[in-house]
Amino acid sequence: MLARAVIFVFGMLLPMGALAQTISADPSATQACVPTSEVAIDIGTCLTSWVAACEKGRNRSEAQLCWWSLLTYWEAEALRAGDELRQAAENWDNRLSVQTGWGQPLLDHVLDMDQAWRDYQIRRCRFAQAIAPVVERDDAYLLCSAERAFEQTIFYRGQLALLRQKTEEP
Amino acid sequence: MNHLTPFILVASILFANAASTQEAGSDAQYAEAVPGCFERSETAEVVRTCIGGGTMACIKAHEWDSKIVRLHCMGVEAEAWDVLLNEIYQQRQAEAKRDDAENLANDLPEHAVLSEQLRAAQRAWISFRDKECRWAATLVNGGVVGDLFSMECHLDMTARRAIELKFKYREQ
Repeated sequence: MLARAVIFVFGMLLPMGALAQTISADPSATQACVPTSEVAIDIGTCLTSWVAACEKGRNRSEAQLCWWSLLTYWEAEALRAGDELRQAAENWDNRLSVQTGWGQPLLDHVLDMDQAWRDYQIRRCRFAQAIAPVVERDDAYLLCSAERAFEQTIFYRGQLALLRQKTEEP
Repeated sequence: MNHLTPFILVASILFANAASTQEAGSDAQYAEAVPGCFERSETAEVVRTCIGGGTMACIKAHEWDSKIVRLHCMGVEAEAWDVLLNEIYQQRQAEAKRDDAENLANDLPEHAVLSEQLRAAQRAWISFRDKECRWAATLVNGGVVGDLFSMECHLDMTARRAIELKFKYREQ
């Protein structure tokens, strides 16, 4: 299904590359969906609301671009945050040349965790898709994937903040 | 949670000695607060406010706060969420198996995958939770503080998974 989604993405992106520019609704607006310590936000509802606003007044094929635009944006954010976290862990390992209490460099922990996160999310989205009504399965997979990329970003940002805090400790 | 064992063992012994000298509420009472709050909550947003409630009540009842009390109280609540998660998972599995059977009866074997996919997702989640919580402890160099971070991580992630299974994948 993942392969199908990837093929679909590329199939859509080639003819619609120019169309992407026509999406007036900017997916970066969904940064407002990031929960804070004061405000708990239902991420799925928040992202779906943005998609609904983006889809307004568009035909079906244009409307699908809203989902892809959202997914592309958050996947890029997740990649960037993941790279920053890996880099920070690597810097930590190099700078101090120490092993952690668990006998593993921090970078290994990050890579382990990252792999486990990916395995879990793929299975989670497959289940989310399978349990959805047949006509909503593509949307269910897209929503789950967008949530996955979103939550991954938030998670990496949080860990990066903790790691930086640790780095600044005397 | 194996890496927690030595500290939790020590904490439990110390805590048991301290707790026996006072009349604070029982662990069962704080553990019961979790399903009670869960049942009263009609939405995922509301039920999220239940997380940490048992721990706070437990700490407050003991009238003294220390890493050991905190670790004990979080452990009690984490266990309660774990029991709840198992119950909800079993409910979802029962529904998935029933749907799989229906799909098989309707000659749709390619759709009879829910039970297996749910099991695969849950196993992957457990592996992820354990690694994330170990990372949380690693960031503070282990020790009792590491155990606190790890326990808080287990509590929070288990609770969130229970909420997700309960509200997000309810029967369509």
